[in-house]
Amino acid sequence: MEEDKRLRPLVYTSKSFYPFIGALSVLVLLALYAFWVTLDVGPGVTGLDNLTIWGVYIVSFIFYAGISLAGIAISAAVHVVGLKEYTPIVRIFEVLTFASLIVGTLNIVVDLGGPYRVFLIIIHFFPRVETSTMTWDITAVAAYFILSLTFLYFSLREDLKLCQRHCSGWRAILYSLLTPLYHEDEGPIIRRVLYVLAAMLLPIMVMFHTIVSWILGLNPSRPLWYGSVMGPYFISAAITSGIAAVILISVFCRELFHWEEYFTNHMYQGLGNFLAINILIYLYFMLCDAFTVLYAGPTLDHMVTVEMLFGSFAVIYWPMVIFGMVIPFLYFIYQGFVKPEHVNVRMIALLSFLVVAAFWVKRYLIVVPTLTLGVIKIYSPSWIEVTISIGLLALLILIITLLIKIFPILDLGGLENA
Amino acid sequence: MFGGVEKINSIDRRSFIKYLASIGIFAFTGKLFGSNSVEMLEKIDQVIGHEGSFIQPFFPYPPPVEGADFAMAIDIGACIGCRRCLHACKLENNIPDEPDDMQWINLYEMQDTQSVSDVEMLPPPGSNELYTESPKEGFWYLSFNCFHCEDPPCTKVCPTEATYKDKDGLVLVDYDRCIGCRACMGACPYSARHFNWFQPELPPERISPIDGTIIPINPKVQRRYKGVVEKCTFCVHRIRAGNPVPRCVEVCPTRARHFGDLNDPSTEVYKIVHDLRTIRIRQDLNTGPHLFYFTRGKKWLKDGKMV
Repeated sequence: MEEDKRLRPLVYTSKSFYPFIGALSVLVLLALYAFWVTLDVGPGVTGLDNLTIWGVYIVSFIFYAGISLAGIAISAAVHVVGLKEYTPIVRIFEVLTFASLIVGTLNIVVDLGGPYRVFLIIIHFFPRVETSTMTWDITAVAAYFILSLTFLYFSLREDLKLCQRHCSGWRAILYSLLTPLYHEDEGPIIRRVLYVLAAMLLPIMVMFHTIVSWILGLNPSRPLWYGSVMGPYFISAAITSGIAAVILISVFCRELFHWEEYFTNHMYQGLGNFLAINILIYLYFMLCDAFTVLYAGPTLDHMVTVEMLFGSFAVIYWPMVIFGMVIPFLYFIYQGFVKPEHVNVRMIALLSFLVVAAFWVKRYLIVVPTLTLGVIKIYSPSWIEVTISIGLLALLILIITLLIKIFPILDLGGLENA
Repeated sequence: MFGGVEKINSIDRRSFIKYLASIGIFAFTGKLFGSNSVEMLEKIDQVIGHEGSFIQPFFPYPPPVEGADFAMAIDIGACIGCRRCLHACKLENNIPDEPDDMQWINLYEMQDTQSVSDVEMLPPPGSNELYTESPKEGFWYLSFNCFHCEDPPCTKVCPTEATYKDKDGLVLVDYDRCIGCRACMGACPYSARHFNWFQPELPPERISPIDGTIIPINPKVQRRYKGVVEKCTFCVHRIRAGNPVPRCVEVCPTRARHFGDLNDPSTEVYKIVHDLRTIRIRQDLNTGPHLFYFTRGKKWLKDGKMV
């Protein structure tokens, strides 16, 4: 009976599953249509122009790259440090990394003027890898993707074999195909491999997010982009938004599959505390950033910051800070330290959603005001950009849903060891 | 359209494998000797006896002028903002009017109180690009095109070698390699790069706004298509084929624009840069722009007549 509960998403399909998948697929198809229009008419169907060269696609790329961090990095940290309590949740982290890296890369592809030529990056890889930030990005994304996929696969192997015994039909065939050369005693060796991979993933994670920040941070002339703080700033944002996204998705699973005993209240309390500390660090970065520029900033930096804090971007800046950062921070501190016995998981999920949304907006406020110089022109995304962005979000949810449906999302082996 | 495909086919498989093998060796040793990637590739090409197609631009620009270092100097006191250079450039370089009105040369009407060193980012705050009357008392005119920097930030970030700094100082774009990632536009401090957001529509003949003559498409300049970045080339098809100056310099009625080789002491640009005090926009960025601004005082009167 207990076994059934853990494998619930694999064996039980509710009535609303297929309509849900269908709705997501329709959104993805709409995005494909919008992409076709972009290819047919030209990149100008977006709201971009020669001044606002990048828009919501790059914003979303940075956002998804940030979310992808939490995934594997925290799961790797759990493996390295050995936090047993969090073992059941880590595979959700890894699945989220996998899906958001795919969707993030697609955001770059739809942004290109000639997506059919991306292979030229590989042909010209060796001369260009010396200085090109774009080439570094491609390299980092590929390395991160391959490593996290390897990590996910090795951590899945044991559980796939376990599931194979409990399943029949196409699942059993799929699982046995996916676990070639399986040996009964491979457990300790696999755990050692995972430990090494985890130790490798942590520095690569730092490198990856620094390189993502360098798309913006290495442009010499752009106000508020250029600067050495971009790397730490992005890593901090990535950890915060990634944890929030993981909380959100795991609460969905917990409510859907009644996994209260595996995803414990205590665990969410711990994640909430961690999130609170990270929000605080990020707020500190924002304070340093704004104060330095307001006090002694160069002309353009000052102009853009004033426009962001008190001008036309203030209507989205302050709600983002208050509802997406300050209020979640206060609540997590309250439930973590003031009233530790009282944990409301749905409230945590709601506030995590606010944090995730706030960090998308924050990335928007990093990319767009600098390009429009705060005042010169207001950039508004066209319906093409909105459709593609929604479609790519739907694709992210679709990939995660299918992975949850096909693979055991709870760490079964880890549970048995624990 | 799929320019790169022909590119691969033009290399036979054996030399490609040799190429890959030697990259592995030279990527390590090349760094030891401190050479940059282009020198490294040249060495590899010498070793495997390849014609060097990896580093040559795909579109046949004329070969670079040996030992030259081209630069431009603009007399902001003489410029009357008549936009002749802008329109002549559009006709010379097949720059479309439709659907986007693209310009490689931009002209801004600046107030007298603004100085050249105020210009941090283009377009400069407080400037007016859509002026209808010039010259006007109380204003001066800032014209700029690509600065052809010594150390261009734009060529650094390009992932496909589509834009590169050539030996004679020109920063050029190979349109058939551009993937349209716009990283170069983000890196360019001068907003000198322009993106083809739509398929440009170019009629076979256009009427010149300067004197009303009918100008056909210039066959020497490659036409661009949607999704690629383009910019001023200093009229590479002219200056590398013996014509001494770009079109904008040729048409300037007040001789505000000067063009020449900085390595050749007989050119006017050499004399201006060495004799006059010049200023460059945003030198603090370490880009070494090759567009020098100077003035010998205002050269036009209230009614627009020359002194």
